[in-house]
Amino acid sequence: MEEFVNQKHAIDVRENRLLALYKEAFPMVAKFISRRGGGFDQAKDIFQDALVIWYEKAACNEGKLISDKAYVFGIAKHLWLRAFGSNGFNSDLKTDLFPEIEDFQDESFSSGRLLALLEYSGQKCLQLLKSFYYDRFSMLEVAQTFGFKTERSATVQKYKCLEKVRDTVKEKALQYEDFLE
Amino acid sequence: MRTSLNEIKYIDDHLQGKLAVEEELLLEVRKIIDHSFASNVVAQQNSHHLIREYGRKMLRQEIESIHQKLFTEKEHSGFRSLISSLFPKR
Repeated sequence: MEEFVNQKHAIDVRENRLLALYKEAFPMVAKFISRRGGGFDQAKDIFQDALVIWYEKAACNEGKLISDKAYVFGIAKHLWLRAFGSNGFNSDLKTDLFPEIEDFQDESFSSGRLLALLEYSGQKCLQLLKSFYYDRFSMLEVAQTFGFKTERSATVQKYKCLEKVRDTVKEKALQYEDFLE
Repeated sequence: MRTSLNEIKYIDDHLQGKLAVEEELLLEVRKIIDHSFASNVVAQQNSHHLIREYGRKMLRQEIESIHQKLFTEKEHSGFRSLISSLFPKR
């Protein structure tokens, strides 16, 4: 029960932050895209990509971005200009301002089937690993969220989970030839 | 921790950039002479790609449910009107 409450709390905090940012920044992005002839669905897709990039950046920087709204708008603008700017590339576009866009779009790693397998066989491990490596929870937060008595036991479990994922990667890599570069 | 977990931790520290310069050098040497270790490093790096992909997938689901909330719930009707005014029907 305690585990459920803690997990729910962490998700609520994130949801509230995302919802506030959605309400604050989406109108600005929608206006920008609408003025350039884009439709609602395009604005939605671009904005949601920008939110993912913002989240990854904010998680790494512990939320210390100068202005979340300005950052999301900047990212969305770059994504839009990159996709639909004149001649496919806009000379005003300074990609070095947002190197994280390059990282975000580098999706060469082909792992859809493997991820599906892991989601099926080891959902709990994936959730734990995600909370530490993707959401950047501290080990104390991971321990509290997943109901471990100590950080130490949560840390051991983290490495056990990583081993489990790694073993699956090794085992299946031979079967999925497109998995390895 | 058992030995195999210590190796996982060691490789993880390498992937997270937490090893000292001398330790990094030793790791690179070990990768050359120990093929099994080298393949573990690659597999662990790929595991991190998978975790990130899973994280993005879950985050996208959360964002989409927020979108649905904003575009269906009564309390957000002002927000909806503002957005639809930006996209006039052609």
